[in-house]
Amino acid sequence: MEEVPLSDPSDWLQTKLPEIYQLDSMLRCYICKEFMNAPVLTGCGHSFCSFCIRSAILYNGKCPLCNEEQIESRLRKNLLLDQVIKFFKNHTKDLQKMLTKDEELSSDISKDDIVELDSKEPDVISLDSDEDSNSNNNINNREKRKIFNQSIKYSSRKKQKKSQPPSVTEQLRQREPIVECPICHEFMAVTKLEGEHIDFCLSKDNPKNVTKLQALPQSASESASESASPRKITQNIPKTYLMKSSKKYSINGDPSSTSSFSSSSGKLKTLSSFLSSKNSDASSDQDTASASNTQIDRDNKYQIQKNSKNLKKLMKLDFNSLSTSKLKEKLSTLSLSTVGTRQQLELRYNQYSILFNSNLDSLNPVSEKILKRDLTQWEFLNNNLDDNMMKNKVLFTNDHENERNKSFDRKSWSSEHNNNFNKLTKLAKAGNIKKADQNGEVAKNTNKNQRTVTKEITDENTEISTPFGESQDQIPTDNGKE
Amino acid sequence: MFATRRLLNEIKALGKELPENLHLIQTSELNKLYVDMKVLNNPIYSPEDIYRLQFIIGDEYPFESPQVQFILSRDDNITKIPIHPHIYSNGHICLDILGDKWSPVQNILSTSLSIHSMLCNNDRNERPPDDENYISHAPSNPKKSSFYYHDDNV
Repeated sequence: MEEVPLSDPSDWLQTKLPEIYQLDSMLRCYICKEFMNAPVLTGCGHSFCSFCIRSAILYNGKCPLCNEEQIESRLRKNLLLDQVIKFFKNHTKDLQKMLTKDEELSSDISKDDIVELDSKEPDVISLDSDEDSNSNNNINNREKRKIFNQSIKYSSRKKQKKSQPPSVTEQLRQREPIVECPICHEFMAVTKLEGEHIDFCLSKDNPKNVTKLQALPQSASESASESASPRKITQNIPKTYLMKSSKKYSINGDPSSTSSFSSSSGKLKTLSSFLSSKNSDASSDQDTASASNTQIDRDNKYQIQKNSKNLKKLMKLDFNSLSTSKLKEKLSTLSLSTVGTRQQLELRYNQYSILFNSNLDSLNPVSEKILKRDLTQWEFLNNNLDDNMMKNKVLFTNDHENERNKSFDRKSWSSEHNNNFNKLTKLAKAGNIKKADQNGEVAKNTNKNQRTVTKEITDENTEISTPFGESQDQIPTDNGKE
Repeated sequence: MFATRRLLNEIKALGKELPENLHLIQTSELNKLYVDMKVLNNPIYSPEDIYRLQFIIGDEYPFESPQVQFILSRDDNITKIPIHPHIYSNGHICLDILGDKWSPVQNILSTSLSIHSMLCNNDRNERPPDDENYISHAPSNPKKSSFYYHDDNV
């Protein structure tokens, strides 16, 4: 359904941390083998994609893992899992890159260490992040280091830093544990701290009154900014994460969003009025969670309200007690097509309700238009539609199209274009009689082929009746032997 | 589309996850796969013999089980259907997970592994008791015959 490149857990086996294979496979749906999309929890505690388990339940009403009877209405969304999967999905590429490149990187780092020892530079981390971010610059950097004098080198590196700010992954790439210096409270790698920094730090009593380093003002300021950079990184991470998490949590009303604590009292009123207007079970879960939590920012409230509008899930219909006209009514209230046989209508309703309900379980639901597009695709692929229906695109009773059809005047249109038609037919008759004939033959042939195919299908269907006879045959022979 | 996507996922993983004795062969059709298997460590089967398992995956996959059977192939010199009390001489396999016990959690890998282990643990050098009767009027699609499970111990 989604345009996601194919990946599978075995990709991790080649990395330095093959154990992630297990995590990856755990986060995948057992039915579609992809990362769970809008995961839901079954009554028996298993998790699947909302779409997949709904299809499975429609098929035989059982949990695929434990064969326990399941009812669609008992499925509950699993928001935490959804977030975990989204996070993992977003960082899979970075992680894989990191873990596969590690060997090359470590050799790079050791080389750089040597270089640095020669030039007596105190900044390990920032160098690495520079190297990692671009391997081409890597070579340039080294060359520069050899050729240019120090001031030029530093300026060039400063530029690089600006253009490529150290990211989370780069920080993670630095595999050495980062510790705080007990003297100046800056964060850096252990080796750096133990090697040169501790001496450097102890040699000056007060880091702000640098006396010794005044002789080398450039390098001092540089080293200060360099050694501060890891701290910046570590400080930045929680911030960005907080931003992300508060955004995500705002959807389900998790208490971790702290930004609007002060203005929460004013919002309680609107919340309570909103609470009274809720109407479905699923929303009540959310609301109780959010009610206990007085810290809700605007986005949060907006999201919940937006959700609550759609929160009514489509009910399963009892087709046996439903007349065709009522079914058509149902479909047209959902602005779905009412064209097709009774069976097609039922399939269409079922498929759309699966799409619709699973969309509600998603963290970020898509619009109904997209669902309807998916439904058309599905109908097209499953040959539920005749070719004519696809050509006429009458699947959806779109309001615009309806209006167009109503205002469409056939007589005036045909009189307008009659001349054109006549011209075309004359041209065709005069010029391409043979071609036209050939085309006609081809068309006939294809028709014949289709017929034979359908015949074969019906033949196969008749076979189904035979095995029953056989199974009855089998029993007596077996009894005779035992 | 759902079936195709899942199938592509599986095929990608199969290449890496199949054990040594099993070998995946893709055909020109996407929904038709072969898994060649060797059975070592079982005196009933010669270790040189290769048995070919054919998977035909329907549109309803994975909700519907695939059509699985052993086949012969002259081109690839596969001349034997493994002998087993649950495998008919026309290649049809009497296995509950290929029928009513199928669940969408099963996949090509798990099915081929179950069938492979079925062969590895076999200690009876015989065909099913109603073999002749069955193959004389068996449908071409093994899924269409409703198997009567003789005994569940094997």
